[in-house]
Amino acid sequence: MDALNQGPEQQIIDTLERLLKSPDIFYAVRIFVSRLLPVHQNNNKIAIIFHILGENNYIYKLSNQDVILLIRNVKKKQLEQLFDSIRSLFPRDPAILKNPPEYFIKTYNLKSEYRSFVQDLNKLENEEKINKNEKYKIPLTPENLEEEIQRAKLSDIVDAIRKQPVITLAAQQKIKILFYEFFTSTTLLGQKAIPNVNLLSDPWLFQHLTETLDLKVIDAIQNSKLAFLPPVISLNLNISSLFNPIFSDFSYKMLEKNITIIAEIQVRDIFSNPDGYIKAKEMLNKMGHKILLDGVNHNSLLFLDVISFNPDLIKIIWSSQLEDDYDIERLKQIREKNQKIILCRCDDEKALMWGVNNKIRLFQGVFVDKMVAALTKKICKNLSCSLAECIENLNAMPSNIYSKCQNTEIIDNPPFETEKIW
Amino acid sequence: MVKNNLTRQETQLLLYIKKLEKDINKIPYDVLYLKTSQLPEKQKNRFLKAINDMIQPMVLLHKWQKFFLANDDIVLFFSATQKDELEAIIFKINFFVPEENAYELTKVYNLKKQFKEFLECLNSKIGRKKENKNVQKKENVFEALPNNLDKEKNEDKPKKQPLTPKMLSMVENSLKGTDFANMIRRQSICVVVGSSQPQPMFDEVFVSVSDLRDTLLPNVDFSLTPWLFQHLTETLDKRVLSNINRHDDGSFKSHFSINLNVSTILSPDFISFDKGIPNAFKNTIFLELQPVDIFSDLASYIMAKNFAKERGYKICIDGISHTSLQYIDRERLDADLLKVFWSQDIINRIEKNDENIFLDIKKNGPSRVVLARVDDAKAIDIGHTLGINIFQGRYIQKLLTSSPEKRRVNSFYMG
Repeated sequence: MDALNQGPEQQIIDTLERLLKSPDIFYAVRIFVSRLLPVHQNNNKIAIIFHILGENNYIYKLSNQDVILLIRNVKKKQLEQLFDSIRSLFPRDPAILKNPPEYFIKTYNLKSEYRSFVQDLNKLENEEKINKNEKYKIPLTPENLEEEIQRAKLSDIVDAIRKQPVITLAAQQKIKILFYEFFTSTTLLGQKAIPNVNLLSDPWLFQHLTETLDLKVIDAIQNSKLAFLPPVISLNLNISSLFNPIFSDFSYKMLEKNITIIAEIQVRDIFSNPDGYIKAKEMLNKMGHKILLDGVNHNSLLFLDVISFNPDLIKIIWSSQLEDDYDIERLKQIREKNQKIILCRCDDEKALMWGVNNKIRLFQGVFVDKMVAALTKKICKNLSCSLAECIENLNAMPSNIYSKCQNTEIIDNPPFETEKIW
Repeated sequence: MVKNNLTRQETQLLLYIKKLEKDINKIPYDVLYLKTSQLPEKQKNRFLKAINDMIQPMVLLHKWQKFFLANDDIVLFFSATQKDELEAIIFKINFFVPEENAYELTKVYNLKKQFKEFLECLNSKIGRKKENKNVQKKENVFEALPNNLDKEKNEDKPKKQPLTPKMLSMVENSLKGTDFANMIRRQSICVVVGSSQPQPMFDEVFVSVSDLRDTLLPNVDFSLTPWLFQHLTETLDKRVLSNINRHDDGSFKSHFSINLNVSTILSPDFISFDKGIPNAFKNTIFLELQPVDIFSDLASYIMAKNFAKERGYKICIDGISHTSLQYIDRERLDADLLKVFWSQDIINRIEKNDENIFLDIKKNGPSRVVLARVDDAKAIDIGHTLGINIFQGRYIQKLLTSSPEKRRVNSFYMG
């Protein structure tokens, strides 16, 4: 009953008490926005739903984002047309794809189902907030962007740099580390280096920021005390950074050490500079370095011909939507073209299983980190750190490792075979 | 051919044919028969009106004759020497009607050779019971195109300074107080078939970025900081949208395109815009989206695209270079039109017998491609070689505005 004492839910009850005195038949419609993927739950999309529902007087938004419509004497066909319009906004959402229609939109005849409607109102599902920021942050704007970059301490930016392994599964439950990806963790960046603004509130400004960060990562790798660098490393880079002299110096230095660089490029960057992409690829390949197409998700596989970019590697982002809805032909074609596929954001065993079943050999993600840490701990003589601590140490840059890890020898000489994939 | 219960237009048609029949060999006309009665009932009036608006300029200028039959078919007598102009109109008609109707919609009769066949066709159609209301022949006179229609989006020549966040902030703040209407430009997207004169399909409404740069940020090269430039164009596009929302003089009601970000389509600003557009005109409005924006967040694009198309709007993917065209699949993205930028490199590729450019255009459907930034006749020739018939650019504007006659045509192309 507590939920009903607040805001919209109580308003709905009060309105119904008034409306149901009339002899007309009323329907309540509940649109379970809370059951959609988080990416589909935001105010703009809810505004569109309101717009589709039209000029009706009785539309409410619950505290969990669900939308309630109270409507009188409407024909079933009319309602169905409305619902089809709303469903068509989220064609690939599992809430709609994988469930019966009433899972997302449920209609109640208030003459016969008033009680169950009210009971359902009481069950507010998915009460987690959309924005999980505990501390209030102001949006990133052109005004504060430059200030924040200048204010950020170099050491704090370097502290936010992490490395994460890409592995392949070998026989007898062994793994081989193929390369490390070096990247700037946005979460860590937002905690210390740039704490006042919500970095992800403006994608274009954030992308501009990454151009500065690209060069810091290169700097950090070159100046790091990393004793061990596998024969292949990858970095997230803007195409513009590939033509920067800092990168050019770096690429030659890595060549001297016999290390191959994989430049991880976002699809949107290629469209921003298609000629630059082709030139950059030629330039890198000439030196023996590689290009990786990053940020390919299940939608990209369906709507974009990723093969036409002709990268050396493609990184596919795992999500459970891949289980139901992806272009299997496209995956086959990628393999036939000899473009290596990495399945990243493997957060659980399900991801790995999907990858293996689809003949993917290379993996990256939290679950992979756990595997690497677990196998490392088996060999490590120091048992005082937890699995989570071990993961943090393995993925940190050297300036942090030596203060936390008690057995840095194992980090300098990881107990895994490496495999040169070219 | 004597029939009872004919409408006035059908009677006039028969009288007209009787006149022509006197000397078939000297008939200076051929006939386009449009089976517009077959179009979907729900939107038929809308299509009939649009088709009428496409034909009307030629009727007025070149004395073509049009007749509406009672069953909603249209008979158009056109000058036999103006086949290219007719092809351009057929192209436009086929573009706007549903794809499944385009196939059998039009039939052309050479009256000198097919007079009997034409009469037989008429005989089976004329005098039929009227199924729909007559098309309203309302003519909306489009306002005269403003001067200085050079389309210069993203055409900045390399200059010394990059755009910085501080400059971006300054520009965006100064735009808040500006009378935006003065910065808004239009440029026509036209059908050119063979050597026909450009026939406008719709106008792109945009802010001239180079005007903006020259006024507020001289010596700045926007291409050096592309992400800040994206931010700027998003701000500009929102202002254009709100400017259109405020126009109540009817100048932004149909047959235009605007540049939008995906996020703007999913915002309340677009909902306000949508409320201001009559339903009948939504299918003449194109929303132009950039590939950078689309592929930044495909899930949002899909949602925005579905929302817009459900409402009747059409989607155009803008800003495609000949290089990035290979990555785009128009059908998969469910877009109606692709806008490819003309450049000298296209000639170079053709001269080197690079087949891929032909294949890339063919894959997406040449009738769905606009060749933009057309600055000379060569571009149109090359476009035709590639199977393209829709063009935009300075050269097209020059052709459109170069003679009083064509200006008059312009004034009638809008529905």
